[in-house]
Amino acid sequence: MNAYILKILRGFWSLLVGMKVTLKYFFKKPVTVQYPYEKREIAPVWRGILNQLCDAKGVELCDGCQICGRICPVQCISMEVYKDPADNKRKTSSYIVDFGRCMFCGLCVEACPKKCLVHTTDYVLVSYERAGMVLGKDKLVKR
Amino acid sequence: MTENTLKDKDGFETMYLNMGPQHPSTHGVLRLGLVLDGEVIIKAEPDIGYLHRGMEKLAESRTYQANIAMSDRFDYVTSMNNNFVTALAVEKLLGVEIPKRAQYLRILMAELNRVVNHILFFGFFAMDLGATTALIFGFREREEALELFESVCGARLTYNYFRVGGVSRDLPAGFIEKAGNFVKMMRSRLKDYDDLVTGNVIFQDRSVGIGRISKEDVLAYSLSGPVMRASGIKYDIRKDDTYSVYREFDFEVPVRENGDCFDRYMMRMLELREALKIIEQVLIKLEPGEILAKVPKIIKPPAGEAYVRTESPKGELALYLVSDGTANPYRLHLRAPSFINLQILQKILTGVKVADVIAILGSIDITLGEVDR
Amino acid sequence: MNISYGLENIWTWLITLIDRLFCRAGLPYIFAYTLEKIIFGVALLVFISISVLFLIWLERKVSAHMQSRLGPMHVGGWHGWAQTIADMVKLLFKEDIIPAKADKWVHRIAPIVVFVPSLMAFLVIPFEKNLIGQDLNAGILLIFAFSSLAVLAIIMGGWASNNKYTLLGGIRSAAQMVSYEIPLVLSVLSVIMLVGSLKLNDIVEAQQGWHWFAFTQPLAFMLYIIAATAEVNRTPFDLPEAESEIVSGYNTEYSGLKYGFFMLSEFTNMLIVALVAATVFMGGWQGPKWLPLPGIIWLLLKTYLIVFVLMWFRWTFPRLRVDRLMDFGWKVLIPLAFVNIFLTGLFMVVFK
Ligand code: SF4
Ligand code: SF4
Repeated sequence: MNAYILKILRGFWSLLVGMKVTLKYFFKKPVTVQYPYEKREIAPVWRGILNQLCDAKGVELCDGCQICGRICPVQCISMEVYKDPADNKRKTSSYIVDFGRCMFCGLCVEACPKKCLVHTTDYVLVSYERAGMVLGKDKLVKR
Repeated sequence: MTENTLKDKDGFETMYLNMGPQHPSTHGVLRLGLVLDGEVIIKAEPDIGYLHRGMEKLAESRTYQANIAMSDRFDYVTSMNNNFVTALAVEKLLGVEIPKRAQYLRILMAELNRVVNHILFFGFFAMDLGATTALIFGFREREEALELFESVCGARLTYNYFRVGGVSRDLPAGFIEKAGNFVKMMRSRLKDYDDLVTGNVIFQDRSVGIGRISKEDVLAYSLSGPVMRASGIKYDIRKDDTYSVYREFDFEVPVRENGDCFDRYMMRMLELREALKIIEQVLIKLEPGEILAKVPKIIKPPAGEAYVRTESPKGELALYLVSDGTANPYRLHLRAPSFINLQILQKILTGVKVADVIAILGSIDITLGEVDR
Repeated sequence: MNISYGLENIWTWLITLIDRLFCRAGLPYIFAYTLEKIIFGVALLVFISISVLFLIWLERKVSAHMQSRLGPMHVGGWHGWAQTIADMVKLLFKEDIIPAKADKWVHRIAPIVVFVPSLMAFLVIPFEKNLIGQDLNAGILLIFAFSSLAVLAIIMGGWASNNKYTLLGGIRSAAQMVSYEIPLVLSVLSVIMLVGSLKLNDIVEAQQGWHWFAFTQPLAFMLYIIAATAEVNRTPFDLPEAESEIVSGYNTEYSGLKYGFFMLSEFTNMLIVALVAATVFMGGWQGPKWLPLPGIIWLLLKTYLIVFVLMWFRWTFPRLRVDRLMDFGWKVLIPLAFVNIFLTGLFMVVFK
């Protein structure tokens, strides 16, 4: 009988202890943010949408070496290369990344010998169709 | 099963209940075919494969580095640990020496991920038993850990942090302090967890003595990780078949005796504390240095095979890797702890109530991504 | 009591006005009476729907803040106050799906059956002394009688949907509600013994000043709260709709407005048990003398205190298991309730 009552009391106490915890957080400040209005800070190293860098004069650094395309595990980078007769350098006429497939692994960025391929902290990528996720040079090249 | 011909002990009709694959708490897309007598289960048939992505086959057409990137997706809760085992296997084939700092960073990340996994387990297990707030608390703390990961490797879930021969990036400024704060915060939150869930009489009522797995069963079914240690077998690969530099750290391997849901839950809570201990030690021991060993650009390990065992939060995560000397592995096989731990389910589900199915499933802690691969 | 403020004055004034008007027009009293009751009923319905909407919003906010979240913040501006209204509108426009193999008529009327009894119980609750639908002399009995009818609807919904989860939910709720009805009534019984009347107004008036039965009958109060939580299917007793076990229980197959009805009835039930708790155990519409607020305000304050406690339970506790639930009901609550009745009886005999 004693044990029975003790068990009930002890159980009751444990419930009260639990309720104390929730009550404590009831009066604490929430930790969430109102997403579209406030955004949490994103780490500068964030692996987001890729960008092509240019040098100070606005000339693309990329020389179309194809390394990024070859290292990409999901083959989502494709480019067309030509030789510019003006300065006899290799250049890309198109550079396309299919972000519908990209998994933002960062291997391409690491492999790029010219260090011209970088991740941005941009993570918003929406489109009504798959083709909208395929970004070309106009979107990727940062001048 | 279309026709249910099983009868209960009095010869009455039974009910066949398809639990899953679309069910709120089968942890993904597991299907359980349950034959019910009222609320008591007569027979249970786990059915897996709804998330099969053919990763072991995919691995054969990917480079070794890309395989590490893919290993993030084995068990998406413990990506760092998957990275770890894949990197270790490739390194074993290559025979490279890993710089000290990289070793420490790897352990730091693996243990942080262990913390994340166990926090999530706490949340989901409590959620399965109906305590919604615990889930949110779990996610709240996980968020802090994910922010740590994010500040190091730039991703929150699929880290792809490990490289063959080291890790990809060094710690950012202020990381050690932040991680130290996280450990401290976690310790104080663990007290809340205990108050809210562990001590709760309803929680104990739901979990003590439920889904008991005996020592013999553990051995027979080759269970591993917390599930095994909850049944009284003290075996931890980090200690008993050590890898990387775990030897240098001082931590306990907790064991519990009963092997029921409550003990499996307690195992995670104790391991979480040990993982925090290791993190603290790593933070102290870290010294500046190299983070990546000299490895060739295109990794072509010599022909041969390697088998590496690690202790992932879910259990023994091992990788069998065969190389034929080309840039892609010839065969990659994963010993997935979730998959092997799941096998016991059919046995221990017989005779329990529907509500306990969820508790038992939750206490085994599976990720369907790893079960189906 | 001759308090000269409160909503009841307006109400009595209105009644008198209608009576006079009808008298002038030479119509029999029964017309005036019917009109009064209709007005009261409509006012009650408006009150209930507003309170339920508010309760749902409150539930979300309380749960959110207990979980370090914010809850709905956008719709309506101030802390998302219009969120539930928006949700209800959304439910209205949803497709109403009846499963192909369902028992169509039972499936259709179950949401109505669940809603009616929970509305009926409001009729006998004294919001203020004279602000009451009908001051029945078996008022409290009527409330319990109607609240036990709710189980019928849940079984109907669970059975008619022809889904195994709903069936399990329905059966669970039948077992649970039937066994928790007993401690619920038994706990109130000790109060009834003390008061000697089933009339709710008598019970309220017996608690003049601070002689709340919550203080003089703490055990009964606690038992009532526990049994009431079970009665309205809230955590830790939310087995009929345990979402992690049987998806959503008896209302799994319901959609649109019908689902809305189930949800609304859940909150109405919660409002009722809280109102009854406030009336029977916490002095109902009576407030302290030095703070002359209308009685209805006092009643609602007390009610929402109980509601908050129920919400607090819900967002703290895990769920019991079916057999343990029965154990708890029959082996803990009912013996305790009997002990309480026995002690009360003893007390009454000794100190008479
Ligand atoms: S981030 Fe990874 S997946 Fe995306 S383009 Fe680069 S290599 Fe390919
Ligand atoms: S690796 Fe760099 S330089 Fe080479 S093609 Fe890619 S972006 Fe251009």
